[in-house]
Amino acid sequence: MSLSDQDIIELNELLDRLVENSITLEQKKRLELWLEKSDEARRFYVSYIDMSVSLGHYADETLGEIEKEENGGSLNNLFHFVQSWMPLAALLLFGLYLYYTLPTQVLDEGTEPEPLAQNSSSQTQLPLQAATTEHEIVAVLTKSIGLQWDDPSSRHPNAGSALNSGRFGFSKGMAQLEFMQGATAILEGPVKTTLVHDNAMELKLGKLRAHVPRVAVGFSVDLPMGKVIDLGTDFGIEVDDEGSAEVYVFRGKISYQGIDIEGNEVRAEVSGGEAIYLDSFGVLTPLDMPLGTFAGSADLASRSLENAQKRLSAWSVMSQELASDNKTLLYYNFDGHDSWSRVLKDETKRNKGSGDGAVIGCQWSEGRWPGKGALQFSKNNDRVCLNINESLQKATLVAWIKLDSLNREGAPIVFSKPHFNGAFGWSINSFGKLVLEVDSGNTVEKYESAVAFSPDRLGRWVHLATSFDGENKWISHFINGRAFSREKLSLAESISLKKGLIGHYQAFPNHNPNLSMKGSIDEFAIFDSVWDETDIRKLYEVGCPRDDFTSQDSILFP
Amino acid sequence: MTISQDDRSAELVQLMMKYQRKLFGYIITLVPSRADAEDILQETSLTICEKFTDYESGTNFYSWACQIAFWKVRAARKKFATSKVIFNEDVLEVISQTRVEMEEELDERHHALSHCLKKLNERDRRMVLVRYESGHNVKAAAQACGRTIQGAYKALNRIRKTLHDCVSLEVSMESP
Repeated sequence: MSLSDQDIIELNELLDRLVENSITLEQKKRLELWLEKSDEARRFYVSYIDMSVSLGHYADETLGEIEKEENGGSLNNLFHFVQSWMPLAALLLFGLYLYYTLPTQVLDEGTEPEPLAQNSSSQTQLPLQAATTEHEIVAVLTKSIGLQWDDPSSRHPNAGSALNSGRFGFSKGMAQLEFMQGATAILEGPVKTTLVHDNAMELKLGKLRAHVPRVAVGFSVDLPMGKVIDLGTDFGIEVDDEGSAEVYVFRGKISYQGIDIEGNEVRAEVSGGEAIYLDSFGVLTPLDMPLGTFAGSADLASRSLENAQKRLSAWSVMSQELASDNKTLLYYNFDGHDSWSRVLKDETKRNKGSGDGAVIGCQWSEGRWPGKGALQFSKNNDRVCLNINESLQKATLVAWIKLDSLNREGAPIVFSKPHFNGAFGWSINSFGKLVLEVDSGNTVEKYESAVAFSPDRLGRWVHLATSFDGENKWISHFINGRAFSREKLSLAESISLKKGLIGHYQAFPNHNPNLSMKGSIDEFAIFDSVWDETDIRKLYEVGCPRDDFTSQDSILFP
Repeated sequence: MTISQDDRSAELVQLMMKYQRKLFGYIITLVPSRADAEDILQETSLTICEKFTDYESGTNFYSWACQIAFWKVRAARKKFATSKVIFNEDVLEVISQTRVEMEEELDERHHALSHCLKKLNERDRRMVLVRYESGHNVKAAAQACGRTIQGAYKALNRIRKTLHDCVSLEVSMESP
């Protein structure tokens, strides 16, 4: 039975609804009837649905090429990218923000390799550092942009760090603090403050915008000549370097209590839409309410998104450089794959596709930035099968991974085929140590770092690298761009990638060959040379999704 | 024995790479919901890996893989029983048969589509490519092309029809 024009019109309508997921049950029954009875309708249906798959294929191919061409330095492309992804990216950013911040409120940050310094309990006047115990925590640094610290020599908290009471100041940038009782404070540098307790702070210099929910009513800010006590509000305060202050109430009400230079008590209640000026002598004068003076949470989120896009853009450039570097043996950036793709593309030019991996079981997921791909390993059989047979006397292994959990089985990153000289495995063991194990013929030698993963690192992207120098007999481990351990090799002379699996164990001693990593990988590379700390630090800094390093630490962003 | 196993692993990797797009096409024809089809492709890949020792080298891998995919779709029918886009078993059977019969033609149609896309005007081409880019939907296409969502739906219906007709014509002209 051939289809009439009217039949084709009806089928077209039904199939349009089907592919756009707007088909009703009645229409679905109608379509089913067509498909059951008419061979022509079935052929029409199959060709139509298959065209959707082909369109997806050409769309990714064509738009990917357009983006690559435009990426030749054009800011328009970045703008287009940001514009088209903005709504999704904003949501993802918010999701990431919640993901990163909520579970870590009672944990210290610890993104630097060495253990955090212990604080004493009576350290109100000591420089503020990341909190070390739950008892001392007064706030969490939930977001930061471009912070430059007053004291570059000290260790400083990162986004996600829990904070003790004490001084907190920076010369440039923005920071969002969430106090444990619920108030949120956004600070714009230069700023000098002291965190007093979980619902109070002192502002000596700089700009503060506070949002105080009902549960945190009573949040107070000490000023040079008095104190602002919140009565359930959004308000902003700016203190200049001579000690005068302006207080703006955007919503709700605050109470000001202070004394002037002659010792007279100064009190005022300021409501939404009103502002006051307090000079350096403590004298109060009403002010007109300005607009747009203080950055709010939305501004900070918007700037964070811009930063994320800039970082993604910088990483893309570096990624292309790594792909074309002739020292790169294997390089997966996990980007630009279809969500159903079962091939992990090797980006290097030298392998001409022979380095592509076969994805078994894993799901494609979100990587370090909104819009970047990653592979998630969750089921025991999840893995990527490699088809590279190189044996290397010198090598550097690099990966960005995010572990969801770390149990007694540890987490495999890459394991080659076992039971021959040069077989190797790279993993995180159950103690959180980065381990390279190499079969040197008669025995499997293990080279372990110090403990790199504590619970606070779970759920966060971490950069791992290990360099292997079989000629000079050294092995070094790096975490987040910093050398973490260095050890003399014993017998191992080379490592072989033969029949490697990413994210899954093989039958090495003390490993269950039926288990996979529980987490995600969004970049993986093997270089056939030994990279030093400076090289690896660059990979980390350009690839870092967060403002984890300050300009004082950075070798790339001074 | 060891060498033979290695060769089999390499063969599996190559076959999976070669046929993954077609296999996905087969699955989505039976389960025309992209998300569900992706899930079934995952499960199918895993089973192919586990049962690869049953596969005889040199025989039709795609046909063998489609059989596994078909089992997975049938099993998933129970899971998706309430879904409005899953067909009854009789219909699944006949669609699967038709799909297998059309494989050669579908390859030709896939190539012809690239020519037909070039024949579209710039605005329509952009609209349809944005719509079908991974993770995008009609709303994204509407935004990218400055149309209302309703307008984008209508435009996409028209473009798909144009492309389908164009591909059919190209394929029929190439046929002997």
